Parts: sequence; C-alpha cells; structure tokens
Amino acid sequence: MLLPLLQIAIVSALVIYFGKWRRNMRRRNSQSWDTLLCQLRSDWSARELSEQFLWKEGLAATTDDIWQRLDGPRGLWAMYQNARVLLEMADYANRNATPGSAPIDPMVLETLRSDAMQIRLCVLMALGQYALSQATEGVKVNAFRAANIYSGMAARMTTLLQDHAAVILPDFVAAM
Amino acid sequence: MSADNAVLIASIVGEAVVCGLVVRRKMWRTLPFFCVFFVWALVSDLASFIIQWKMSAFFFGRYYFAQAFVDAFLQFTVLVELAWSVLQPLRKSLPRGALVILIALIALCGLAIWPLAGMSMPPDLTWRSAVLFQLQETVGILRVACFLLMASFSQVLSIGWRDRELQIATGLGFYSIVSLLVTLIHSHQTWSAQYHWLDLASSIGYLGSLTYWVFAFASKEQKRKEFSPQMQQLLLLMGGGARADRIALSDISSERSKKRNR
Repeated sequence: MLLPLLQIAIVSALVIYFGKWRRNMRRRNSQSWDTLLCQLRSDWSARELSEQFLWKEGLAATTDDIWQRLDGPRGLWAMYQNARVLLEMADYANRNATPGSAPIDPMVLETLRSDAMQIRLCVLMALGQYALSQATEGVKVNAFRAANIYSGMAARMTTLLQDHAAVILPDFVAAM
Repeated sequence: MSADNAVLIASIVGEAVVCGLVVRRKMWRTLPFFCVFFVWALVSDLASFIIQWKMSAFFFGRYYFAQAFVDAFLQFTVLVELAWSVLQPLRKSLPRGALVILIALIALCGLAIWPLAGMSMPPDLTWRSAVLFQLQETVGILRVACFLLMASFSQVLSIGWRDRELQIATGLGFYSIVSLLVTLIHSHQTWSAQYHWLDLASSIGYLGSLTYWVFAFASKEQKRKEFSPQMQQLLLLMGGGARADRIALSDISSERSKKRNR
C-alpha cells in the first residue's frame, strides 16, 4: 500500500514542478524591460561593499571585510537573485533586438551571460561551503569574486542610467 | 470503426498537420532531429495502418517490434537536441567535446534506467513483448528524467528557453507524464483487460500533445518588444566591462599559479 502512495506522490510532485516551471518560463519570455528592472532586490543593499559603490568599479577591501559587508549568506543570496535579472536582461536583448538596426555583438551578450552565471556559480559554491563549514577562507574568496563582478556591473549600469535615464536613477540606486 | 483505429487515424492527421507546420515555420534549421522524428512518426503510423488493414497480425507484430527501436533511437536524438539547444547560451564557455559528453550522459542515464524499467514488468510475457515493454518504459522514464534535469539545471543557472523549445518540451513532457502514469498503473494491475484501455489512454495522451503542438506551431512567435538604443547601450557597457573584469581575474589567478610553480 505504501509503494503506490509513494509513486502517486512522486508523479504529483513532478506534475506540479513541471507546471510551475513552465509558467515561470512563459512569464520570463513575455516580461517587459520595466518589470525586469523592478525585480532587482530592494530589501538588501550592496552599497556597503565599497565606499564608492555604484560610482566606481572594483573592490578595495580584504576578503574578510567583504564577507562582513555582504552580511554573509543574505548578501550572497541577493546577488544570486540579481544575477538572474541580469541574465534575463541579456535574454531580453537577444529576443527583442531589431535585426536591421545595429545588432548587438553576440560576444557582448555571451560575456554578460557568462559573467552573470559566474556570479551565480560563485554564490552557489560559497553557500554550499558555508553550509558545510561556516565562513572559511574558501567561502570568503568565492564571495569576494562574486561581489567584485557584481559591483563592476552595478557601477557601469549607474553610469549609463546617469547618462541616458536620469529619471529612474534614484530608484535603481535604492534597489541596489 | 474501433477506438484504436479512430485514435490511429486522428494521430496520422495530427502528425501530418504538425509536419506541415514544421516545414512552414522552417524548424528544421534549428531543430532538425525533432523534424525527422515527426516525419518518421507520420510514415510509421501510416505503415502501421496499412499493415494492420492488409496483412496478418503476425507480420504487424514483427513490424511493430522493429519500429519501436527506431522510434526509441529518434526520441533519444530529440532529447539530446533539446538539451543541446537549451545549453546554447553557454556553448562558448563549455569545454570542447561537450556534445559528446552530453550524448554519453543521456545514454548512460538510459542504461541505468533499463534494469529499473524491467522491475515493473508484468508476468507471462513472451520475450518479444518483454523487450518491447522494457524498451518503451525505459524511453518513457528517460524522457521524464531528462526534462527534470534540464528544468532544474536551467532554473539553477537561470538559462532561458526559447518559445519553440518550451513548446516542444511541454508537449513531450505532458505525453511523458501520461506514459509514466500508465506504467505505474500497469505495474499494479491484476486484470488483463485493463491493459488495452490503459494503452489507449496513453495514445490519447499523445493525441493531446499533438493537438497542443498544432495550436502552438500555428501561432506566430511573440512580437518583438521595445529595445531602445539606451537599453542596448546599457548591455554593451555592462557586457564590455564584465569581460575586462574576467580577464583581470584570470590574469591574477594565472600569476598566482606561476608564483606557486616558482
């Protein structure tokens, strides 16, 4: 009696998971640029990462300092989620760039994807290690790498918004 | 007309329409194996219909046994093609020979499932029916396992699926879940007459997937959304700078390894 129940539970879980996953993918493929920007995490701020965060690239701090400024796994998780938004921005560009007018260099999209994924992988590795052995040097190095790429992307985005879309800049700064 | 024949004829019509839409949308350019699979499905179902009508049950049994292997092989190629297509944004970051590794992984997954599929085999089957049962169960479980892996992997790394890939995966996923349910009920059933009705239910599930594909492929892909020069500039800036960061980081790590070697 137990085996059929277990099998029914597994199949039901699979159906629910596939349904949810498909709905997420559909939503992802049809969302607007504004919706994407709104998805950046606003309950955690990365401005503690550097004194000139959002205005200057690079981190001038030790791995220990960055770990503290990140607020540990909480900051890592926020970067993980924001990296997803950056990846979705790349997908949006790939889907919606008009074929006739100055196409985006595929290498740029490739690099953007690759770096956002690098952030996600670094965060996953750091969180995995953290779960097993708390804040060791390996965890902090991975967190530093993720934060370094993240702060670089955030700074460049600020420069661009300052130049082209100053109206939404305060919202962006608050979100980051 | 029996229910079996009605479902077979409906499947042939559905497959013919899907083939027409696949040609119209020029899908062979991006998903060639999926197109080959559908041409094969149409041809084999037509042949099934003619053989059932004109020839003996013995000959039909032999034909059905042989075509099941071709069908399983083509489904395997569709799974590889879909997985490779999903990995498209990452291809340049993947090591050389990644496609071979992917094929080997899916094949190994199938080999691991083969004995598991045999565990739910009903008793008193001839060797031919037993092989056929095990082959179909293996392919059914492999489809579900592959979709589960692809979905979870793409969720963790946040890889997007294009609309067509998503439509194909939805159709195949639905049919796979129905097949899996039928398999589960098969393994617990005690009354042999249920067999036929359950197989018919599986065929109706396939018909459901075909109907979905007809509607999905008949509709045009989503319109392009606004993508202003400012948005483009944003990506160029972020992408370009990110590349510089990566080069700097790889330089630092290579310098460190050189120092260690000294």
